Formats: sequence, structure tokens, C-alpha cells
Amino acid sequence: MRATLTTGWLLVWLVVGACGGDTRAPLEIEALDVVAPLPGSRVAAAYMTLSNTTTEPIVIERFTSPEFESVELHETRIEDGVARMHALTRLEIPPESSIVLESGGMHLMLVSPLDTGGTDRTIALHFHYDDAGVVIASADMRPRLAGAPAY
Amino acid sequence: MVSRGSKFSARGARVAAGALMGLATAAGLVLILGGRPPAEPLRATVFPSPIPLPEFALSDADGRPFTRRSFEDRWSLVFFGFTNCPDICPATLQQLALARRRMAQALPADRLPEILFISVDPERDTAEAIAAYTGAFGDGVRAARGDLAELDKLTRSLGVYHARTPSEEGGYTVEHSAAVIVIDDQAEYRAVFGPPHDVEAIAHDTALIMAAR
Repeated sequence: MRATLTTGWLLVWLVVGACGGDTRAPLEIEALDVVAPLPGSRVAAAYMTLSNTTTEPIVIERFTSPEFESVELHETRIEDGVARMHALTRLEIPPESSIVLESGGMHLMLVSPLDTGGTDRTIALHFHYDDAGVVIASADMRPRLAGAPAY
Repeated sequence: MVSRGSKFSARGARVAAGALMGLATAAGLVLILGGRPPAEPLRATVFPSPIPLPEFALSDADGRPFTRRSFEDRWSLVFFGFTNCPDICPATLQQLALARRRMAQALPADRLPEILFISVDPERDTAEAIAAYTGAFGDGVRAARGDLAELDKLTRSLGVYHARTPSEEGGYTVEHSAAVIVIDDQAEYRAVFGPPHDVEAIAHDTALIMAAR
């Protein structure tokens, strides 16, 4: 799965790196998996691992995507056999820690695709955090089922 | 006029056919179990006595009536969900499709259980939407929908919970039971799988329950 990052703090990072400091990005996004909406559905899902490489907490205040009307952070909880979906308003990643967004747990719900052109395209996700800028990660959207048509 | 002998023959033929189907299922079950003899269910809760379904009136994805009788003649694995559910619903249907594919390695097509998706969001889940949605999961997957009063006749009898909850964005989502319900070919509630689901366990236990009938 291809995933790329663009950051608002890139310049700072390069300066620090040139001075021989830590060259890791403060917020790393790995294993980004964007699953296309099924036919008849208007929602896609995105899973990933988010890592805070710094010694301070990172708080992601909101998520957006130019390809979807809105992006919501949800957590699925199975309580007494009932699937309950809780909307989360922010995501705090503790210092030097990782949080996994995965099926059956926390995930991004991508609502109402703005282009119904199918699954064969790249989706960009924007992570807005700590008023410090935006990290952009992108990945090729995949169908949930092999050979399944998209919305 | 039907002679006594021909009555016995017809009855005998039915018994023999039933026995053969049972043997075929049992043989298939041994294959599903990897050559080991049938054992206890891995995950399913099996009821000691089947629970008959009540009468209800829903529609299938083609707009045809979907009633209690629609469960007859074929076993069903039933999941209640909605098409705008991003995670649990498609994941569970995918698991059920994979379990059915696993069972298809050992059982003939006419003995495979049908996968049934019943919408708990009939306001947004039109017939066209549920048809397109379930069509993505391959053969043997059907869908049904209907008004909430009729839906509740079925869900209450199965102990399936569903409720609309408002979302911050002004819309709503639907909380619902994540169980997979096993209905036999007599329209009786036989067993239930609670979450989290496991493909191998669903294939194993469903075949086991079917063979035990």
C-alpha cells in the first residue's frame, strides 16, 4: 500500500535534521488502508497506525479529505453483543506512543465521496493537529472485496 | 387412487432422501473439520429446543414479500445491519461470505446456508441500496427490509436490539446487535454466534448444527 506524507512542519524538520537532531517526523502514519464504499453505501473506512515520536502529546483536532464531504473519527464498541459506534471529537496520542485504527475498533469514516469515479484512485487524508499544521497521508483506495464494484 | 404400498413408497423415499442428505452433510462436515469427527461447537450457542419464528411481513431486495415462509427449505445465517455502517456490517458480511465459501468446499450448493442481511435502517436502505450492497458479497447473499413495526416482530423474537442514535453532524447512526443468527429450514431459531466472529468457527459450527438436525 502506497502512503505518502506532506507536512506543514517540513521546514522545521529539515532544519533540525541538518543540525544533526532527530530526523523522524513528529507524527508518523503507517499502514494506511483506505477501503472503498460498497455499492449502495456512501461511507468508506480508513485504518492506520499513528505514532507520536515526540516527548509531548499530539492532539489531532480534526480530519478532512478533499475526496469526501466529511471525515469522522469513530470507535466501534461491542457492548453486551451490541455494536455501538461512538463519534470521537479528537484523538490524543501520548508521547512516544502509537495508536492503531483498525476494524472493530477506532477508525475513520469517510462520508459521501465527492467523485463517484470508482475505487481506482488515490485518497488523501489531512490530519489537523495542535494548531501546528496539517499532515497529509495518501493511499490508493482498495475495494473491500476483491473484484467488488465500488459505489 | 393411492395404494397403501405407494404411500409407504413415497414416505420411504422421503425418509431415504432425508437420510442421504444427512449423510452427505455429515460427510461434508468431516471434510470441513479437516478429517476429524464432528465435535462440540467452537463458538455458537445452540438452543436445546428450536424456537419457531413469528409471522412478519418484510420485502426482499426485488420487492417481493419476505415472510416467515421465506426461511423454509434452506438454512440461513442472518445478520441485522445497515448499508451506511462503515466497519462492523461489511466486515461481518465478508466473514459470513468467507464461511459460506469454506463450507462450499465440502457441501453441495443446495445444502449451503443462505446469508441474509436484514436492514435496521429502512429509511435510508432502499431496495436498490440493499440489492447493490449484498450483491458485492457474491452468491448466496440475500437482503430484506421493511417498516419498523414488521421488523420489530422479527427482531424481538430473536432478541436482536436496534436503535437510531443522533450523530453530532445532525444525522443519525444505528446501534444494533452484532450477532449472527442461525435459522433452520423449518423457520426455527436454532443458534447464535456472538461477536467477535471467526470464519472457521462459523463454518465449523454451522455445519455441525445442520448435521445434528
